[in-house]
Amino acid sequence: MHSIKWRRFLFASVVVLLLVVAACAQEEPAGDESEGDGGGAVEAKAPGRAVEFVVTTSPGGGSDVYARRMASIIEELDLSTVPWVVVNQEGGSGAVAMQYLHSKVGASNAVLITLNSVFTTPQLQDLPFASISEDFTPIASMALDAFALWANTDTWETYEEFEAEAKQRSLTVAGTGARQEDEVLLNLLVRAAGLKKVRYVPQEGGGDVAAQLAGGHVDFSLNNPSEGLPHYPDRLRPLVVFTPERMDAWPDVPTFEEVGLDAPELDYRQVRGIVGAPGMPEENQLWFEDIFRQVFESDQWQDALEEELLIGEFLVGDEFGDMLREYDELHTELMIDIGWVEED
Amino acid sequence: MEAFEGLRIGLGQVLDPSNFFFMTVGVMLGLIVGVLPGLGGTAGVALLLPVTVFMAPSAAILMLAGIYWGSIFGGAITSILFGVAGEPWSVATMFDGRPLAKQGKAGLALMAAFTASFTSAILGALLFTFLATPFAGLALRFGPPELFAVLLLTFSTFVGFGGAPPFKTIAMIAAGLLLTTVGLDVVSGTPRLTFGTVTLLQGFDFIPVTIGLFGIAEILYGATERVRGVIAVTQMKPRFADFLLAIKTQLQRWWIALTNFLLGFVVGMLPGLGATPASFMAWGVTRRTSKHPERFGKGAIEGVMAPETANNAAGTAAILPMLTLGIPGSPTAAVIMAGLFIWGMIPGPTLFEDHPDVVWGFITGLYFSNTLAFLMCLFATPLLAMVLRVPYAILTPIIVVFCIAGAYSVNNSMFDVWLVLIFGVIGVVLRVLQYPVAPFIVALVLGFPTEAALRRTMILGDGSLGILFGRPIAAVLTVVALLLFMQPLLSSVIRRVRAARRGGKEEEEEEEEEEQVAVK
Repeated sequence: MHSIKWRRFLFASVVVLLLVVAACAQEEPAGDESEGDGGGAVEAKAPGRAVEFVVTTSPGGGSDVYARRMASIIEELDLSTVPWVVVNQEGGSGAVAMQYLHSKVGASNAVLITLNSVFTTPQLQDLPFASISEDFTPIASMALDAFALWANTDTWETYEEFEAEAKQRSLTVAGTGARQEDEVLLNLLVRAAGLKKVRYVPQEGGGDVAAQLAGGHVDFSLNNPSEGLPHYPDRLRPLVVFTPERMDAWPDVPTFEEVGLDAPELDYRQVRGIVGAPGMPEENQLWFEDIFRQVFESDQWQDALEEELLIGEFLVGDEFGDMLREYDELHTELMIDIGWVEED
Repeated sequence: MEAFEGLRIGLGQVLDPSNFFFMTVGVMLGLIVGVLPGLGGTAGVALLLPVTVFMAPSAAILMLAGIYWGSIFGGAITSILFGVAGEPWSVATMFDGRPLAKQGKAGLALMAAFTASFTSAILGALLFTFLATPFAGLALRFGPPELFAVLLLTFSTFVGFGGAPPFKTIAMIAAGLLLTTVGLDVVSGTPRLTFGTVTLLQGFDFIPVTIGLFGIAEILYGATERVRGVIAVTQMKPRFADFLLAIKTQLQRWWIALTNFLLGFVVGMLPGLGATPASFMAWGVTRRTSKHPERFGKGAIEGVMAPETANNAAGTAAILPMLTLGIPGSPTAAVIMAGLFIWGMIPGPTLFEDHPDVVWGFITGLYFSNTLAFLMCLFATPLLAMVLRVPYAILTPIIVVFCIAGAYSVNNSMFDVWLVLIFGVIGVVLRVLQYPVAPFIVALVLGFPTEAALRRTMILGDGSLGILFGRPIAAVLTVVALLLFMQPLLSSVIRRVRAARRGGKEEEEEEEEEEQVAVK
């Protein structure tokens, strides 16, 4: 009896020690192992040590959940020869995580999961890099996350009712965080629909936003569909989706165009994609592309897309690079329009 | 009864051998991460999340929850024995646990902490089983104004903290609040006091600061005491009598346990707060309502029981709105919720219908894993006593290594390691100058959520604080907080008026003397 307890204890201690070592053993300087691949086709090659999967939020945040979900698929399907470690670098609307990745120039083993603040943050803050598309290595887009306008079920039933009231009085909206993607969309909506000035109450993450709205403390929110799901359909109701077509899961919820919002910029999506460290060797970039392709094609990820009401969109290489560039340009324009940044 | 039917399903889950095994492993891992400073329950759960894809969801949630409960128990151990908080929510346990240990009553302090934790955990489990839904609704009713009022109340319980001179207390609170303003501004999204560096954008994480101020500083200060030959090493003889005394105290002070339990449970449910403020608040409230507030901070056994009761209650309660509404009440609850998503479940009302085995397995697991954690703690006590017999020169460096590794593990940042060392030195200086460190930590922990709640409240109220009084819950809490803030002033005024009425000059002098004693 005693010895079993001991053995379990020892086993547990060993596991924990290994975990501690794994958590701590990431800081060695990134040696650029792979200089001069010469000409010809480059073959995909796994990094020599554990992959750091950098996340912009704390554990349990939206991006964190996606990152851990991908990491668990990689683990479950045994896709990678090296372990994957999720590294949370929250703070500064993604600035801390981007800076962390940026400092790993040439690293073969560090990637970051994106959300749209990677497009806004570099322009709003004084950071040592200009943009996500220019300074990082594009790897893959895994999904696009739509936005919906949510209201409490005790209030409006349709977008029209909402709009009528929002033109009359100043409403309150809960948001993901100061100057984050939903505030961009909010500004576009206010302008397109001619709403009265809205009071934006920044929260920490989409889950908090949904909870505030479910509790009736604010009037509406612009959440990703998955963020509202725990309260749907009891407390929260989507009034309109910001996609060109209706979503499969919600055939009754109209698109922004259907409710008469004539503003193409409202077709706005969150990019759940992967970028690598600046100057990542091509062989490793290819390896990551391959891993994420397998993740994307896995049943688990396809289920995840369906459960979380995501739009599956897999792009790699130049195509994904172009997409990042488009989004960078789009956000620059939008932020100039809103007045957050000056035109230069 | 639906609850009994649920418990029956849950029992089947928990008693399944493999589920039971994983739960036991979880609790054990939890105790270990709870003991290690820096590496907390949140990190422990997050680290093991990927492993859970190989398990059945009911085994996975039992293991992750086991880690969580274990870490709440384990946090108290190092706080009491070494003055190094293993978890943020056990910092308050240190206020009285550490002095008790220094007086040679480490065994009693540990037993008090374990019994209080266990009682509270079981009460929490009962509430969870039978009253989950009504309580969950309460979490929704807390918007920014209510949250701000709760935080204000927490601060107000710390007025006259530890009996230090008010100026020193205020200075420390101000310093703590100042540090929390560093980083990204919550409303405008612009960097504040970062001096253009990216490192400071993250702000000052309170875990490395706490490890430095309490852990490293304690060790450094201990070293100076040893040089001066002032103290002997903390020793502990595991005695059954301590266990009995702890139970006896617990039964005698049942109302402390009950109020702190309820307080912890309610605070724990509120989104984003969790066990840490609950533990501080419980300590503050118990001290203020005690007949002998002066004993607090010097080794009052209630001062150990109160935060331990509250943090277990809060830990349990934090899961409740997560399961029933999808609102995580604490960072660890958020990670467990991430797990639910990964296993393909949506937390919320439908979870109880779609996956009753998982939900009820988890609820039944509350009883079992907390009992396991309690038993493990009891059996580990002789082991801990052995650890304490390790020579100081060997033990101390090991603790320092754990402190530094733990601080590094929070954000994987070297900056945090420097913070530990710098605040270690600052901690010694503060101790020498007799500044109270606890108010600083309270301000550092609660500063950011308080500011955020205040500013959100102001946005909702169009810049006016009147909104605080326009909402029933917020109004009551705010008024109580304001009264508590003014209580020292009011009571001294009342005393003076009474003394003046009696007109006895001598009496007034006596009163003042009493005050002097109280201050000391």
